[in-house]
Amino acid sequence: MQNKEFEKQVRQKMEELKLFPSSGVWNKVEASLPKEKKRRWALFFLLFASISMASLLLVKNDQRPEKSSPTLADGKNELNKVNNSIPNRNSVPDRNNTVTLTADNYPVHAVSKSDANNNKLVTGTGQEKVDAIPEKSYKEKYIQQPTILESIAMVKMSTASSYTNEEEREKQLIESSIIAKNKPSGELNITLNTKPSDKLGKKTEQKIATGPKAKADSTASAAVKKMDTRNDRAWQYSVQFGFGIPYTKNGINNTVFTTNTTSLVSAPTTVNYVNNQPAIPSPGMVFQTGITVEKNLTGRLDMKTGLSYMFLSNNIQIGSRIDSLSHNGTTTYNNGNGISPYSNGLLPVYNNHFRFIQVPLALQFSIVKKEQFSVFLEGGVSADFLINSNALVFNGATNTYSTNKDIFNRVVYTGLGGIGVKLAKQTRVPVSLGYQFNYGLNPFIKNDETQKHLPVSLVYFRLYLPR
Amino acid sequence: MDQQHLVKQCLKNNRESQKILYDRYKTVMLGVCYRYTKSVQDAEDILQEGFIKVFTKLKQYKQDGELGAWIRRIMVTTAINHLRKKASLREEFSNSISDLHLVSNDNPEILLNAKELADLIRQLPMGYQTIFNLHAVEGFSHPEIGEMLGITDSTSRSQYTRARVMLLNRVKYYYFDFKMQAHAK
Repeated sequence: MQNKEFEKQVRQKMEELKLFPSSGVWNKVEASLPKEKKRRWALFFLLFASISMASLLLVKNDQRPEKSSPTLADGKNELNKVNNSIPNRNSVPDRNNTVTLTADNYPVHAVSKSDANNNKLVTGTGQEKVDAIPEKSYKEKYIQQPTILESIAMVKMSTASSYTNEEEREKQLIESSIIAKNKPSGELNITLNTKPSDKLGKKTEQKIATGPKAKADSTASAAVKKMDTRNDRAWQYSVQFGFGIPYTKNGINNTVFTTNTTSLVSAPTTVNYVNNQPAIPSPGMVFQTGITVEKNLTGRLDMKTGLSYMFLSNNIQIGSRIDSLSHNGTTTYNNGNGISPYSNGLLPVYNNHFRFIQVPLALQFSIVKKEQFSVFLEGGVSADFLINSNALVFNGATNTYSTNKDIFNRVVYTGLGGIGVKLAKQTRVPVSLGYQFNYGLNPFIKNDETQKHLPVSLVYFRLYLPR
Repeated sequence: MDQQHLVKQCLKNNRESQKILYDRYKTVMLGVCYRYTKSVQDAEDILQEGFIKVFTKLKQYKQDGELGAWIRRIMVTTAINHLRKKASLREEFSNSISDLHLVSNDNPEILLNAKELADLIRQLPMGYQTIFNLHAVEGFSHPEIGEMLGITDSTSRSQYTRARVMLLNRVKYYYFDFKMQAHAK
């Protein structure tokens, strides 16, 4: 009978035996496993949802002007409503036979421009004068108080450009696309497309302003203002292009791009090639492009979101490509990932690439807001999804570089801030130029004890699409 | 993340959870693989193959058992299959060393650390190494070992006895060398 004490001791010792495999083992295991469909599906869903949302907003945005810019037929219908609301105009008796009003040349606004003091009716041209019956009795008998719709028509006429005759005036009235909707609450929505310019227009406008329809006028003006405000607050789309550099000072992304897989090694500050230490990467570039949407929240405050693609690169000097290496001269270790490792050295320059999809959400506050331009400050957050990378990771144990994308966090939550200038009038379409600084809120590297974050600095150009 | 939830996520092919499971057991399992092989490269190859089996056969794991023991069993089976492919284990068992003599009958207290002891086990001939690991460390009986390796119970038993003697001698020599070196200094 063998003494089992020896076996017991061996078993206890072997329970304590723990060895760290190289990172390449997991890479091979992962490569052999079925693709992670769910997460890719989730990523595509996210992209699809974002694009769908953006498209929906775009379509909605395109539809809005149609509502506020009706067709000629709509204008005629509305005019008919206005005319029909005035009862039996053609049958108004002409006491003095001096002026005959017909359906064709009847100036709608003339009715409202009665001069109470002179007991005369003033037509749209202001030339025909009628020895009117006393105004009060004339109105009571033959002319109804203008409806709100009439008032709208009058407001329009008062702001219409120069008229040569009544016919043209009515034509312009139709073309000026008046929409008046008598809402249950009595509130009016109106959009006017022409601009007041002529003296007559001003003259008649003054008359209206002082006349009994002033209230209706102000209501309509308020409605116009409301429409303008609504238009200002619609989503504003823009295409953005940005160029910049990843921040490379003081080793922030030294460790981002050259990382020891077991314990992060601080990059050397003076020399490029030291055994078991990574080389110092040189700055690469940042390119960003995407669609942004902005919405005015209050007078000076805008909200911005969108979808962007960001390419980020950095260069590093490495050694030659190897397939295996010796560790401590005795034990042969397999290399970083067993596929394409590089030794530490000074030979070729390797270009690390990182590709992100960004979904930003930011607020813009205009510190200067003028018609021609505005200067704004920007601040917010962004979710940056790492979609692809060829970056080399430094392994201090084997003194080699190899790819290991698993070491990076797939989502980096970024804080962003910047300043920009929006030029609205100087250019044919509005553009804005600005500077933006992004800084990763969570470390770019998983289990990063030194908490290295991802900083990016870029200058951007934003081209606004028509509303 | 508790084990049950971790297994569920791994079954859904959640890569992050699979990585967590791998990280949780990789060091212990590489130790297991290391004892059955002669090189680190082979040990890592077995570890890799073993974990692929773990993830593909995880459906077969019954939640009531110890997950670590289940993975360990897979690693051992993978290691034996690996050795079968690489060398003829049967030849290893037939090339037994006949003139083995125990230096002394006492059971020394093993003062070596785990890695040193594992390295001594790895220096045993392949057949001895395998049977010693299976019986002394994993706790398989000789009939079970015979079935696993395709040998008879008695072969397993005799091989184990020889492996044990050889390892004991090496442990004692290791101490002797260690003491001599310490004395020389």
